[in-house]
Parts: sequence; C-alpha cells; structure tokens
Amino acid sequence: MYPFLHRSDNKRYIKLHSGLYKKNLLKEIKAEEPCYIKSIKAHKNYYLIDLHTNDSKDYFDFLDYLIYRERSK
Amino acid sequence: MEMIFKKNKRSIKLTADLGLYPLSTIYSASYVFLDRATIYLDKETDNKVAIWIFPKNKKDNLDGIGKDFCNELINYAHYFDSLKINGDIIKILMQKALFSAAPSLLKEAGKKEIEDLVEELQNKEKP
Repeated sequence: MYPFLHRSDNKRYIKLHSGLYKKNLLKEIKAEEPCYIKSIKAHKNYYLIDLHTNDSKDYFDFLDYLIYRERSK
Repeated sequence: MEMIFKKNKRSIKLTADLGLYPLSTIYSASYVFLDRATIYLDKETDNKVAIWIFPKNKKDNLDGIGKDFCNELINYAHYFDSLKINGDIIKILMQKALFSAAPSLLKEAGKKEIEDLVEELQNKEKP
C-alpha cells in the first residue's frame, strides 16, 4: 500500500501530516471544489482526507495539486 | 546531516533535516518536480521530513531522480538564503528606481522615516 494511504472502516483515506499540510488550504480546496474532497478528519497528528474517488491515479493528482496550491500562495 | 535514500519498486524516499531545508525550500523543490514526479511529505521525527518521490514515467531511474531532487533542494536553499542576505539591497535599489520616476513619493517616504525616527527616540527616552 502507498505510504500516503490509511485504511479505516473499509475505506481508504489520504493521510497528511498536520505539520506539513495546512488545514486552511485543505478547507479552501474542499470549499472551491466540493467534487474533490468528501471529508477531512483529524486523527492523531494527521488529517485523513476522504476523496470522491478510489482511483490511485486521482490520489496522485490530488497530491500534485496540494504542492501546486501550497507553492502558488 | 544526511540525506537518506530508501528505494522501493516505484518510489524513492529521502529524509531531509528541517534545520537545513525548511519547509518552504522543500515545497519549492517539489513544485519544480511536478511534471516529473508526485511528491508526498511525511514527518519522521520533529526535525526530519520524509520526502516520497513517485516518478510519473515508470522508466525513470529512481537514483537519478532522487539525486536531482537533492540538487533542487540545495538550489532553493541557496536561493532563499541569498534573498535574505540581499533583501535590503534589493529593497534600496527598488526604492531608488521607483522614486526616480515619482519624486513626490521620495518626499513622503522621507517624511515618514523622520517621523518613525523621532518616535523611536521618544520611546527610548521614556524610562
């Protein structure tokens, strides 16, 4: 399994460390593109992101998008 | 400091020290790599970040891409350092360029500077 995936309740989440990925950015993306992020959960030091997809290609695209948005600020 | 490389079939993982490569540097290097690889960041310890690199082209040499990423980290670390050192000089040059185009701005800026200096002196005089 990929290191950025977390399994829980028969679901797969993308796990993002709260010290490295900002919650505000995730909330912004969720607000701007609701078809992308289903939910954001806090779990220990991570945010668990439930996406509207189970395709691994989309997971990679999402990670790319995070870098793009973070750097574009 | 060491950059530790760990290789899987489809990815390579580096470990970077935040004391040497701040997050802004890592994000900048990752941005440059967007067309070549997907980058995932994770915390290893308080001061160390794991940088996972998943090449987009499966034929890409993992060692090569890892070393290229290290080069980008050094590139941006140097860039941000230079920016810090030369920031004041760049500011003065920009001001000179702007004020030569609009001399009235220079008067206003000079007046503001004097006001700030007077306030600073007054604050220093206060017990």
